[in-house]
Amino acid sequence: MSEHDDEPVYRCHVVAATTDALREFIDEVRPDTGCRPVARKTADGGVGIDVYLHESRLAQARSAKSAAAVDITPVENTTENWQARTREVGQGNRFATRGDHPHGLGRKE
Amino acid sequence: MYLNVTEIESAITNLNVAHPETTQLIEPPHATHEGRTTQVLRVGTRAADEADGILALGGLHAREWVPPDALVSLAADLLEAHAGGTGLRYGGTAFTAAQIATLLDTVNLFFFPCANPDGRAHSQTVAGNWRKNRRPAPPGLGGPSCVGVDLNRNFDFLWDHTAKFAADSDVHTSADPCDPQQYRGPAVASEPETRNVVWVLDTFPRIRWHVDVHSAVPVILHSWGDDQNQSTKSADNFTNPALDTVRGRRNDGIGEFITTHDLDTAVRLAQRMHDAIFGVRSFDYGVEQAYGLYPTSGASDDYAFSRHVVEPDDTKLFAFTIECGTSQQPTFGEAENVIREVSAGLVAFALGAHDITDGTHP
Repeated sequence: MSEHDDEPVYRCHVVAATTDALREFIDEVRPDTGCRPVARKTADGGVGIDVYLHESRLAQARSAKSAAAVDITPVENTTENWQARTREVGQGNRFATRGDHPHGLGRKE
Repeated sequence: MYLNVTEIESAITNLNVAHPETTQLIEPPHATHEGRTTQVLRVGTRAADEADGILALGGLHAREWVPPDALVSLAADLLEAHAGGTGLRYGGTAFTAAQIATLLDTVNLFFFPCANPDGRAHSQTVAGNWRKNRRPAPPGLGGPSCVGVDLNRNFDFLWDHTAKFAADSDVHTSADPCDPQQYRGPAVASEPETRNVVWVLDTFPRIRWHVDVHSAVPVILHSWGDDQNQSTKSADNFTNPALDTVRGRRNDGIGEFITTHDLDTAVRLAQRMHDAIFGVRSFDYGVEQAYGLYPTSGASDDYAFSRHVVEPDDTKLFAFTIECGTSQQPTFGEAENVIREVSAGLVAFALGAHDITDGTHP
């Protein structure tokens, strides 16, 4: 998908003391911020967001000028995870027969 | 096991076959770039023009695997519970048989579980991190990342970000066809998948609420996403060209207009979802304005809520985005927990939609 295609992608939790510090980091590093760039307050009063970085860019991010004000914690190797998850995708068509339909996960009671 | 794209379409087709009295199968008109068609399943005992509706949309972003499964599971749950005269329980959140019956008798739920099947197929078989649809790369641009458009930046809401936002607003979208994640597309609503969503809203004007299910943060987002909300200057809104050079900046005293009543309604509806989700396993999604850290443009939720401003005769649609779970591709065991959360949130939302929005129940 990019020049980093052969590298693993890490989901990283980035936490800063302030929104400004977090924005400064994102402005400098330009990571993939996922679906929408929304940060959440953390339990210790900081603010955090998950970003996605190729392995080489993770190293660059850690040495960014603004990185001193944030904690970067890789929480998921999404490339490895995806390889495992592909084994959990349906093969063929479990509902190929007209009478077969899914049953939801809610308990009927 | 996660549903593949063939299974999603077969599943909702067969739910329609099994429950013909309480469902309608709807096929939006536009085939995808790879020739796939998609389907919408309306669930409710009354005709589409006889009851207010909720559009529950999933799968715009290909790599977010849980939302389509969640919407199919919920549709199946509602139909089975209604037919069997039972209630539904998701962890610690439960709904009575009477509530399920009332829901299907008073609201139409339009389930559009997989709006981007080309992207999902690509993500599930070729490139797990794939987010966009599969529009072919423009002539002369051959790299893999030059394929595709971010559908949730392609809707007709301040789509042309270079003209509609302050240059330093850092709006999160892109005019670069080779942006691997956020390319907005060559024109507004250029994509068949986008136009299918628009078609649903145009064709079923009694849809009054829109919930776009994504992953992951988790959080529940309400309007607006282009700028910080303000409720004092009605002229300061997305239609005002005088704001085109300043829109999207944080803490500049200029924001997107929303009435206090609409904001209160949106927050209460979002909170209703939140509380039901929290009840499942005490996981705190939280409720936030979609603006977040940065503005966005061309997103489905802002487009849906903006329609009545652009065309006052159009239905006012309260619009939300659920960012469910913490991972875009969790183990399926964890995905099942997230599916229960999304299901509980949407059922509670549907049950409270009229009360919170209108102060009455039909």
